[in-house]
Amino acid sequence: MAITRTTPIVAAAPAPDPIDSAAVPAAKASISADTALRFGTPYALEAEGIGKRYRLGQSIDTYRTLRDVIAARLPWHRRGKPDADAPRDFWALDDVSFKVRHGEVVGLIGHNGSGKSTLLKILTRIAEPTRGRAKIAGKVSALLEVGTGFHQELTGRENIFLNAAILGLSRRETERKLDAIIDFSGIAPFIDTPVKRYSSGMFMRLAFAVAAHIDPEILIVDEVLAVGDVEFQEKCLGKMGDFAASGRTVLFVSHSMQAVKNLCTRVIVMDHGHIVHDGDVVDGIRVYLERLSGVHLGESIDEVLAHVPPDDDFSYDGVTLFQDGQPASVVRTGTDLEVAVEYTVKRFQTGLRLGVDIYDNFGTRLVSSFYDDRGEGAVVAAGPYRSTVCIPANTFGPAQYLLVLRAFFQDKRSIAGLPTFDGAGVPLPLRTIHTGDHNRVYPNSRFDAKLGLVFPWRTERA
Amino acid sequence: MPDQVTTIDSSVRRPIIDVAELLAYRSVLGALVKRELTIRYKQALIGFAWIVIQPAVSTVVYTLLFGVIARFPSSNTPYPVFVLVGVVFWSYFAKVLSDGTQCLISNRPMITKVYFPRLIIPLSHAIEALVDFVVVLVILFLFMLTLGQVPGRQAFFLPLFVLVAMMFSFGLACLFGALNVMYRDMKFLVVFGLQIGFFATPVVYPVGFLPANWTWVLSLNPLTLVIEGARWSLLGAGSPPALGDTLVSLAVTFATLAVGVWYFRRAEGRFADSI
Repeated sequence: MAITRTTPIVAAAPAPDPIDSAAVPAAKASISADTALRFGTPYALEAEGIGKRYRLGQSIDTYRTLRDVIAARLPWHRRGKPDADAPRDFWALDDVSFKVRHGEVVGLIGHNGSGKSTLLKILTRIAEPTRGRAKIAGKVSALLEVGTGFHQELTGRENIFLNAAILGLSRRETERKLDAIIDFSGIAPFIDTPVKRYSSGMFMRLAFAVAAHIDPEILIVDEVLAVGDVEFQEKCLGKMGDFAASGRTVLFVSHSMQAVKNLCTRVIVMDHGHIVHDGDVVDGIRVYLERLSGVHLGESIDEVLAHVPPDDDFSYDGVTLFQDGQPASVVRTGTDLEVAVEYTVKRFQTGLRLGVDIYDNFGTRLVSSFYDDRGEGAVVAAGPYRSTVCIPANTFGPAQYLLVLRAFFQDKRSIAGLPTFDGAGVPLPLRTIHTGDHNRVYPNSRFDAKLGLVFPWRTERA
Repeated sequence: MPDQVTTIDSSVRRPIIDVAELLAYRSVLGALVKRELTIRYKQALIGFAWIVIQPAVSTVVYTLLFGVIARFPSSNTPYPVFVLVGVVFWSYFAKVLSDGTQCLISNRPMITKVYFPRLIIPLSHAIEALVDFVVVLVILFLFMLTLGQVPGRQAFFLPLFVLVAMMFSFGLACLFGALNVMYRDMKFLVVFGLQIGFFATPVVYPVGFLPANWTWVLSLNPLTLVIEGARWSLLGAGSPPALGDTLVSLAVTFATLAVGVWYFRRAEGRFADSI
């Protein structure tokens, strides 16, 4: 593909509407416009009314045996309860439509089972849609996992050729890129050793090295980044950032809101097989968060508590935020915040654990604190209780936070909660007014940190 | 991989034959064939020798059992070479069919994670098994030469019989490979079928062993044409295949190939969902 043009030729592309093309930074506009010209469409990807139906209730396994099929038709076959066994239709995707322009980097988010993986499988042609159609203009590569087709008995080098072929590189292209791939993997001394002798880290590095050298115009990536160590994840994100910056189109599924925020220019949020948001990244992340907890973040604490499903052993009776002894709805960051939790343990139990997690707006857990962190004993007897946690002044900065209360018994995984980022809990959105010391002398500067902690400083003439 | 516009449409059925797409993914076919060969060569304790030992042992056993003890006729050629020709083709067929039946299940991670025309998988087995076939064929030639047998001009017909064997085996492999995704007990049926099929195919006996008015039954099995034809072309044994029987065998071969590929392509869209 020729990337020699330097002057943006967006205007030459067939009627790009001004709002969408503004989302594509000027630096990469030339490549995407070039691609648009070549295919005669401004869209890299167009999905129209895509639906996918699965059958439920036939059996736990999706496959059958011929024996079962024949046995079920025999006249003396005892009919089971027809209602319980009747197949039920389940639409994993229902009427999903969207368009992606050349050069856009789109994040696809949604909780597990929202349909995003099914959508990826349909767009990558692994599964067929039950309804609808999609059009993809350009050379596509799909990374639904790294190391597809890798075989333990083969050497690193042999696996490179196999994996590269599966990812769409011709043998000649692979030979040309072989040195670069081996170099990038950083495991050159072991490249002729069977992969079964590799550590999992080496395996991932090699697999990613191959994936990083494919050169499509449209990249479709599933949660590849969820595996591997932090260094590996950063390498992955860096490579995807390069890819996006070079004007290619990326469709990116992730549970990491931070990664989505850093990479994407647009977010599509899915829930129960539908698109519930398509557009702004920060708004999309908020919608995802709300869907995740089933609670509108504007609601009061009492309303949130009313949504918490009942639990036989435990109930939340009330949560109040206090500042200076007064109930607070908006938190002043310069004042201690007390969170008082009233709850009832309904039955005698092994020790209760109660804690609070603080999340930023992108689902990153910043702090996690339990009431027995210092080993001061835990509630074991039934009865009503009240636990209060004090979050000191100058903890929060001028940003939005989400507090999540969590409770569980030692012998039981978790109790009484709404779905949140990491398991069940009670999500409490927190709005702040900045009265704290953080950056107090420069009040108009941007808040880039996560917390508004202030440390003691001492400056003297040396 | 396709450098043009890809269209996905639920209301349009995929074509049964899409040669352009298969060609576009030929590097996957090459990589899969190479993978199978490399793995087998590495895993087997005695490696490549295994390819030779299996037919050699079969030949010795069949020769003792059917040639020496039961005294089966062998179309006026030494029984060991006669039976080895049968064994070479039967082994190829049995290998392609049994590997082909399991091939989709054993490549499950690939099928659920990446797109390529799935026909490439059984095709890779039909090609990979050719390597074993050629190795044993070379041994057969050497064996024939030591016995003073030199193939005549009709040996040039051999590739045609190989082609028929490939088409028939590949067709059945497609059919049972796809069926095995939907019904997991298909593999037992195939194992059982292969046991019966061995005796329904003239591997250890010539077609002339049957009463003349019954030989048409055998021609329904294309492997009869393949093995008897190969014996004629390599050993000069028996007579060239009769036109009528050949046409019946070819018809069955093309029908099997067509039904196998058709069913495979129709079922292909459901593989990732039900595997």
